[in-house]
Amino acid sequence: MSPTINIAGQLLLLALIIGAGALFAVRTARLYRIMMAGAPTTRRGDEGTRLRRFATMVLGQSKMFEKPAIGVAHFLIFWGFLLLTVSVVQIMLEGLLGGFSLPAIGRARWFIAANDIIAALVIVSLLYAAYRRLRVRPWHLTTQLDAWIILGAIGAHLTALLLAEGFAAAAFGNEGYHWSLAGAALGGPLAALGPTGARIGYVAFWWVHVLLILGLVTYIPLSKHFHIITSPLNVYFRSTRPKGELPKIENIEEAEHFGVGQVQQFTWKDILDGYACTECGRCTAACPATLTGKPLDPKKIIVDTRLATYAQAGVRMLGRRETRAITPETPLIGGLIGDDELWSCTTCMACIEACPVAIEHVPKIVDMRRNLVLEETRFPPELTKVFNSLERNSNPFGLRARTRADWAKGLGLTILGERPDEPVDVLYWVGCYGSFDERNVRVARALSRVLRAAGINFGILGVEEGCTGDPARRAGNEYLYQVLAQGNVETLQGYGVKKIVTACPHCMNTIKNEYPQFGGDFEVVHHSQFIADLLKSGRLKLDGGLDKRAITFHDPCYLGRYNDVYDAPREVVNGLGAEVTEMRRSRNKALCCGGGGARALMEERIGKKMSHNRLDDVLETGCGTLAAGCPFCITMFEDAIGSTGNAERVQVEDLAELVAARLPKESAGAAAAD
Amino acid sequence: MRILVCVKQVPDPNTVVYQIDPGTKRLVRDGVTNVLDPGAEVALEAALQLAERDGESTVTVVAMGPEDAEDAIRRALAMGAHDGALITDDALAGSDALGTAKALAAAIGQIGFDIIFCATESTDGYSGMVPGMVAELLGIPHLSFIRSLEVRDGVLTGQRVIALGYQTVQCPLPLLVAIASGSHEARYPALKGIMAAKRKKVEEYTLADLDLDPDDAGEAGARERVLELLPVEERQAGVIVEDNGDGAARIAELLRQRGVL
Repeated sequence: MSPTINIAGQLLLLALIIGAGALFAVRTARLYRIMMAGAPTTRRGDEGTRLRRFATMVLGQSKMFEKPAIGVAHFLIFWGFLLLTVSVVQIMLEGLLGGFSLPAIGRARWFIAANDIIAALVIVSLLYAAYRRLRVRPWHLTTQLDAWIILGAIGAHLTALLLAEGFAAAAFGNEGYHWSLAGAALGGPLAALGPTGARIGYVAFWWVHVLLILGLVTYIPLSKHFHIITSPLNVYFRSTRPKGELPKIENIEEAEHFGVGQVQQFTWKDILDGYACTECGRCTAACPATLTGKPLDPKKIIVDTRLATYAQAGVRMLGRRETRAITPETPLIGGLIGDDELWSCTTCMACIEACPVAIEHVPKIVDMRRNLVLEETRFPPELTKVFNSLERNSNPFGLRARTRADWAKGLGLTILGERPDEPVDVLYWVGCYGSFDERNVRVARALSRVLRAAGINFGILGVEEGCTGDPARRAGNEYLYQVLAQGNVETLQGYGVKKIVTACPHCMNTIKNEYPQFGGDFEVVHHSQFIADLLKSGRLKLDGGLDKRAITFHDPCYLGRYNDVYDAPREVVNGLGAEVTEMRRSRNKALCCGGGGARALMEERIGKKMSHNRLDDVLETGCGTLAAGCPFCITMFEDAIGSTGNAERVQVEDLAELVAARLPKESAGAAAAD
Repeated sequence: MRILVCVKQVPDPNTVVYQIDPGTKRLVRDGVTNVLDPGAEVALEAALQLAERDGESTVTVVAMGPEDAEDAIRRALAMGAHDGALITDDALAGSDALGTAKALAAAIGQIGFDIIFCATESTDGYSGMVPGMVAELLGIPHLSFIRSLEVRDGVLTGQRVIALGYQTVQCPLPLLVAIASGSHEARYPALKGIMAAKRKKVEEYTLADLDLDPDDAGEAGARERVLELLPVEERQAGVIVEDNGDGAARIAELLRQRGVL
């Protein structure tokens, strides 16, 4: 017996399928159109990388497994969904044609058994997901009605399928209809309802199953469950550019608008990011600003982007509380997203690293900062001095440019401009902190001694060096950044510089990953990489004798997450005869010190200090030495250690300082008195 | 309203260690970053806010200085001023406060105005006399130390900073206000402003344009002479007494040595 009974039932089903398909198509088309009206961004090329990522992140669900329990549950739901799609085709055709079997598999026992097992596993996974929302309740997971509709509808339609099979077995015998595991299990007990009752049960639950599927199809574009379509695409279209490279505003002097003030000014990929978000909150849980009570929540930024997009598209999301207040006129910044949210970001990229569906939060935040700075001139007042000083002195501190090389006085370092006919092998890029900040001048002097001890032929730019522009760019002042970048690229090219070593991961990132936008291609390494190589090749020898467990290492965001350098700093610590005692959040999970994204140059007025929060991780290790590899981190930690009165317990030392202190006596002597 | 703002280019007070030529007693300007006087930025900010509230006003900045003082005017234009005037003439070098005021007053007289904004004093010279002199030469009232103001029906109501607090004053236009330092947070120019500033008009005036004699201004006209320049006495480093149980006694001894006790 066909569940659609007769031609009327078949036509009804056909009408419902067409109706649901049409609703889905209309809604999705609107969302697609508004997405494609976004600004252009090139996401083609590197197909190999894209497919590899697709394989690991989508098919392998790699990021999901970082939380194992829900990872397994989601894996089962994901693959269950894909496999059960075949069964949905079978069922729809069966209903439409009044009895039909897909060739070869439609009636195959293994196929039906597999379906039943998968359906049961998915139901169990859904129950776990519901349990997690009700009982485990991770703080970063916000639950809207939407989530219950999705979990409920998926769970119910699979339950209905199993029940329909059970009733069919009761009505027609398990072989009479078609054999199924559910039929074998449920057919006996359900037969107690009598043949008519079983038939009614079969038809009813078959229709419940089909109607829920069709309902879900129409519902998906109005829900975060749209992610089943958008997330895989989002992973595929993720940028293949260096992670640390922000998009450049081309022809900035002629641009009509700067950055993003309205959602339509985002790129289509930014809008796709919004569609792809499932609100799992892993970004929230990783965000150093969220963790210290700042108004920023990276998830909210993405959800707001989506809400604004939906409002523009005239599509209303269902099952949500916040949609009611939002109109197409609601401003993105100041309406949906507050200024303080944007200024709380340290651009540490923990959110991007945590996201299972490759959402790119940081460039959006910087884009909105660009709007605030370049168009609205609305930003924390401290930045006015920073911008003015960068413009006038090429450092953010308000110190005279011509004193930039004063730190090197008496060291006898080669300054490129002073000895143009003596080429150097390596340029040491000192950076503003190393040049001007008393604490970091000590690092610069230590690194100079180390390079000298290893017999490296290196030089510095002296007063010709200028800020790379990183703080300006991350604070949204793209124009000022471009002026600074242009100047530095010309200087570096003027001296034919090929290889650069620096103790500042921010300088490193900008010169390495962002100066190519200005035609500057340089080989840039962090001093930890340089020193690790010197140790490996034996050019640098150190005295051992350190307490093996005395050192922990804080991964700088711009070194680790931005440039994937995790091992070199640890090799340097090994070279000191010690091993890094890891903090509970380290490597790509390391918590930001609070200094990136020009935050070190702004007041931290809201919430707990991010540096104090990270210092808690440091103190937990019990290590007396905190090894660092970034002047921003050192500055933040010095402040945190001082203001929390922990100077007795822990000291922050740059890797170069630790190495310089372990130089054997004779080479230390040869390396010019400091 | 026609709003005029007197501005000045000065060596960046946030970075520069002043160097003075002992011969001329003037600032050494070589290798020094010159900027729009932060005090003038505050006056301009007050003027721009008034113009924005009013909606129909134009803001013109007037500066006297060497040719490159146009940079300071451009910065003011980037912040939002509508046009600028630069009084520049080799014969103006070495002007004293009165000479400067004469040149400014002459240019302002030609441009026309309803209200003039000045900083209370410049951040390099600090004479604080020019606003009063300009007002006197133009024959208009001068309201000093203004921290906030409103103009309605041709009458300005404003608050003056005084020792005890604030004084609310009123005066019909035309007039000159000197804005109290720190009373407004000067805006940072938007990029559109920076781009637009490149196309805005800056009129140049010479002494001849202003019908002034070289005797009125410049070195020749300066009656005020700087005789001597002395550095500020450096603050003496303090003494830190660490308490090892005898802290009080040692502090008392130090105070005794200095004749305090």
